[in-house]
Amino acid sequence: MSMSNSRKAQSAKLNRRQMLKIMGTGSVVLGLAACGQAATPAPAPTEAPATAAPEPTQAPPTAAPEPTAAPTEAPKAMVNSVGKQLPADAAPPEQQVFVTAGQGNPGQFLDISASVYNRGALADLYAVPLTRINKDFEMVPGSATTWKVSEDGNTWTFTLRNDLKWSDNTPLTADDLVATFRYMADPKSGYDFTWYYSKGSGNIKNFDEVVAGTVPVEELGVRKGADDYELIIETSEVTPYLPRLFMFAMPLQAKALAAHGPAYNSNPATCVSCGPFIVKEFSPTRVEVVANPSAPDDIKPFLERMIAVPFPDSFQAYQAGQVDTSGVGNAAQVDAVLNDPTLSTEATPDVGDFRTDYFFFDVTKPPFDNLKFRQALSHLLDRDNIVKFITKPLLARPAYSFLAPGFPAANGEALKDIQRYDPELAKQLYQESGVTVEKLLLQVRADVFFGAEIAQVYADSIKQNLGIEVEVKSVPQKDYMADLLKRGADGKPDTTIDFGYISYGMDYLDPSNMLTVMKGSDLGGRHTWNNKQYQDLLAQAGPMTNIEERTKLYQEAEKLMVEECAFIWCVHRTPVNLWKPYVKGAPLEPGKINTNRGVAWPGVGAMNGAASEIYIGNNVLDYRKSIP
Amino acid sequence: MATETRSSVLPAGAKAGNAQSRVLSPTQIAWRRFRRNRLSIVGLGIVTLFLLTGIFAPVLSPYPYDQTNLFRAMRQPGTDPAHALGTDELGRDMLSRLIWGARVSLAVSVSATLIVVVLALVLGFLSGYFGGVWDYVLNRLFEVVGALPGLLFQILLMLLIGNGVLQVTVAISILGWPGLARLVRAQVLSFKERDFISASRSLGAGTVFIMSRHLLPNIINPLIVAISFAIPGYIGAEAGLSFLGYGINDPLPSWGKMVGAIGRYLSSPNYLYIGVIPTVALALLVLGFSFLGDGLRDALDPQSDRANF
Amino acid sequence: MARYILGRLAGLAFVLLTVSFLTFFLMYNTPGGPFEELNQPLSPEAKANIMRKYGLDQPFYVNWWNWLVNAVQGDFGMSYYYPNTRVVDLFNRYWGSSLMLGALAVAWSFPLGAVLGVIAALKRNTIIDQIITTFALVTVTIPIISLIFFGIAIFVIGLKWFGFNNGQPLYQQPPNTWVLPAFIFGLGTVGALTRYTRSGMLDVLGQDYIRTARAKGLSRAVVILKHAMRNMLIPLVTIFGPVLANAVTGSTFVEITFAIPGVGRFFLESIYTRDYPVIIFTVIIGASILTISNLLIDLAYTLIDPRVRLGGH
Repeated sequence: MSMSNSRKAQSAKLNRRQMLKIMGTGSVVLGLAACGQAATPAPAPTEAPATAAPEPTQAPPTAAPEPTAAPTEAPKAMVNSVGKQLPADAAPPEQQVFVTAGQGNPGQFLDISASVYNRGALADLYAVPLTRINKDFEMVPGSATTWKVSEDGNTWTFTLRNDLKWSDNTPLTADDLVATFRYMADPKSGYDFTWYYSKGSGNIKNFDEVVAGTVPVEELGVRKGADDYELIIETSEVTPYLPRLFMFAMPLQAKALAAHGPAYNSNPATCVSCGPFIVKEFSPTRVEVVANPSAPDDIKPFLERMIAVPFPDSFQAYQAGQVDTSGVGNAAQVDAVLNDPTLSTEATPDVGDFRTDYFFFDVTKPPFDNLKFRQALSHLLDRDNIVKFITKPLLARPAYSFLAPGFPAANGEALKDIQRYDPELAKQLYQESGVTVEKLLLQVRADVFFGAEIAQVYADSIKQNLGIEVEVKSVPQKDYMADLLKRGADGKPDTTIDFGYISYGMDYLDPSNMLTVMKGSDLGGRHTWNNKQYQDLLAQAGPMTNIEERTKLYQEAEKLMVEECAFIWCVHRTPVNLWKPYVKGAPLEPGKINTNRGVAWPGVGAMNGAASEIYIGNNVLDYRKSIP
Repeated sequence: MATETRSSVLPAGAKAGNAQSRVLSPTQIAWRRFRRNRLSIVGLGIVTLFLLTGIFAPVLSPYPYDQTNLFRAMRQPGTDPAHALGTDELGRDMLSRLIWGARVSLAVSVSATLIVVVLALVLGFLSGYFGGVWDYVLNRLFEVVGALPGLLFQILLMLLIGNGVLQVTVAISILGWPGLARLVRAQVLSFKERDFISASRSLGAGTVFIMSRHLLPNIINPLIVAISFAIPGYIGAEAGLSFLGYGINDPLPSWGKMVGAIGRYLSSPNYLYIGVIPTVALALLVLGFSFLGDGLRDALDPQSDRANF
Repeated sequence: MARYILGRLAGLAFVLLTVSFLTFFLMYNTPGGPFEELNQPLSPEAKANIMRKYGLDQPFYVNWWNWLVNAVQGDFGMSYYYPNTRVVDLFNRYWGSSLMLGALAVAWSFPLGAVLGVIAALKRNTIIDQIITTFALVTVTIPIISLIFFGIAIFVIGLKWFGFNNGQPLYQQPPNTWVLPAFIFGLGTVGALTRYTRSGMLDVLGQDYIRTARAKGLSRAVVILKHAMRNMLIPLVTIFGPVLANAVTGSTFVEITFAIPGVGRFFLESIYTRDYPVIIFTVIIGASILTISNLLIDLAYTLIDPRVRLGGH
């Protein structure tokens, strides 16, 4: 799932779909990640939150900062309105405002624990999740400082920070988290992300039963421990990767939840926060949040305010100098990034969420049950020209397998030949396959960037080389996923998409996450390719601790998958984001995985701490005429 | 000063035209007047050209309007000999899209205008001329339909009946007539009591006679001006609905849709031609209708005849 | 006169009743509903609960009646989409911007259009007339969507003279967020108005009584002011209705492209979210404004042209 990048890409487009219904974007993908049985060894919690504390400057913070201070003057220490000392090269506090385009529609909720798909702009800034990730996608402590698991692996004890206070001056306690989990499981809530903690994924004890209404919510496997700061979570199966999932475990305040319901943060009057910001204005046309003075120092932001305005096109707003960051959403924007001298220096590709676009078949149905036919199709995808002419090399790389270069256990170039572009070979294989096909329907998930265009190129190639008519149809994300995952009355997969184009991006940086999506519908996976050998390899590799051996197994599994041609890999995305030069801070610095400037997935927020760490540099006045 | 103005009101050669009018039929007079105005002829030429283009689109367009070639996308006009006006973002031939767009845009706008004019004439006339119960009932109808906020209601309607050429035509015409009907009614009201009508009536002229003989010619003037705005207006209305996603479905082009497509591509000056081409075509067409409308007005208007004394 | 106005006001009630009924019919019969787009995989029971809670399991006329009963008492309900928010409160956030946009556009386009039209008519067939009519033509020939997009491409993205709205009401914004939209919004009106006024004025100048007045020896200025101007107002008043309608709802395109929080955009969003209480409220407000303005226009006719009688015979 890509929260920041694909959201930005979406809001960069002016289309009615965006105005129409802005869902939690790529999050449907997450909703289907089914990273269930994936057994990832829980990484040991690191020692301290990865907060880049600013170097305290020497001068006492007395002198009022001069907004237009000449750069030659000795920098004066500045403290913002919540008492956080600004870095030496920061602009004065009144300029510490970060503006984004937000989404076309602000949504109703501001917390991932209240709703995933109906969240608005500037969501998830009002608490600290149990665990967080750093810019290299490594897990770091969040509101939980340490955690341990029992001998049998089924009882987790999380110890919460005791310095996190809600803005009404009450402390964040285990009771808040218990209330949050109960809210999510309670069938009355109609929470839209229950799968995440249910069997096969989070495996939280009784979660499915509570959702189904067969067990009272009090019996959920989440309870308070010995004191206010101890949270006990029981699982029904050993789930070593559980802490990683808790990057989305953003606490709601029990009191506010009870008094005002799950949307309490959508109203400034009832907003209560233990995260970096508090809601000041929440309206359909604008969301504005201000720094939270009650947050501890490492959570307190440098920024005074964050503003989200649903501009019709974030890229255009970026060009007009009205937002501080944007994605790239269409060909003209790519063109501008490539040709405009200013934009080209401000635009940087990153790995995003290691998203790969691919074609897939329902291998249970003819003609796609024929391996030779699938192989024939696999040699008709002209990836080099697709990247050259359609996506442009800046935004994508040709993909010959699922795992993008740089992703753990990626096979890299090793599998390049299996599905290479070779129309002659394709014709030969088609003849050998013995099937004759007149017409195919290729369904594209509408949110895939340049998806319809790429599918059309592929369709043309199939028609030209094999004489098969291919109709390309674009289907909105929501309907598409419903069709893809449709199950019959007997619970068996009954997808209506035989031939499709879709994408997938990671939830966390581990091969188990990506490869598990392909494990097959029998095990709750996304597609109907149920290969016993592949499934066994995954089950074997998951809990292994010998990383080298584990990687080997995963690579073997991926090779098998490529050879089977149930999926034709097309491109690895390298989303391009633009950041105004005055947006500064540790999260923007190049990291180990994202080697360019820019905030890594999932963007500026509390899940990776970036909201607390970015600031506006003192060069802002060269660029920004006024603060919106 | 006054005499100067007076003479400026008179079209050149008016007297000659009147001198000959004694031996010519009214149609001939109108045609002569029309012909005298060069702009009218230009307008007629443009409109005829575009109408023919629309009618013969299947023959004229060099490529199918929906044929894509993504490896040849975004060719600017003049850079590719195979595509005189270049290609769009999907590599479709702009000229072919433009030709088919003329067909769709004109079909929608002309049919919508016809529907609206007929409705407006009949209902406006009934209301204004007969008054009384007619006026009351029809006025309530005008009020209800005229009170429906146009775009909002059209969107609701389109949601119900679905996208398509016929549907758009219905949606933009079903609400379009009250304005024109009120105009007709207002004109009928203001002319009804004029001396020459009263005179006809007192001379025992029948209703139908009065209508056809005096009222119709008298309201034709504002009506033609209104129509010359209406057709471009309906092209614009279709464009608006299509732009919002409640119009004509892809891949069928209309000029309005082609203009609306530019919204996504404003970021790069290299892409603006996608919107410039249909905009120029639309502007030309509207210009053509305006010239034609003005020419017709001057040619048909009995008042401009009297103004020539 | 008073009786006539009272009658028309009774008509207003009838209009609103009919319009609201029609709107309910359309809303409840269009595909998709307020709780289907939320992308929430609710259980059938949970969904049934929601439908029951909002009365969506009832036929549209039942909902219409319930709405009517509350609306008559001034209660227009809560938004389905924005939790715990009254429709009226939401609307209050938007109407000011639309009004300001419409007022700005009318403020510059109406006087300019009328004056240009009169000048063109008086200077008929001179170079001045030609310049004015050409200008009017050009402004009405270019579709508003093109004006908006090229305006944005040139003045916002290219030259950066103006910007998009930042989501706050227009009247709290610096001029660079509203000058361009108000200009574009008014441009089409100038052209249309110039043409209407010119043609209306020419009609009037050709009338017998003007010539009679001239023949009686009245000065040209007096004739124009006393007779011609007065009669020329008829087409002017007639066009005001559509222009006002445009100002209320037709600025949708300008609003969504410049991110202005106006009523048109508000309505469009409520359509996307199928927020029934908002949709019906917006339609009713629009309908009320249009009906009242139509009444005022009819009254204006009688004032301008004494031979037009109200109520008819």
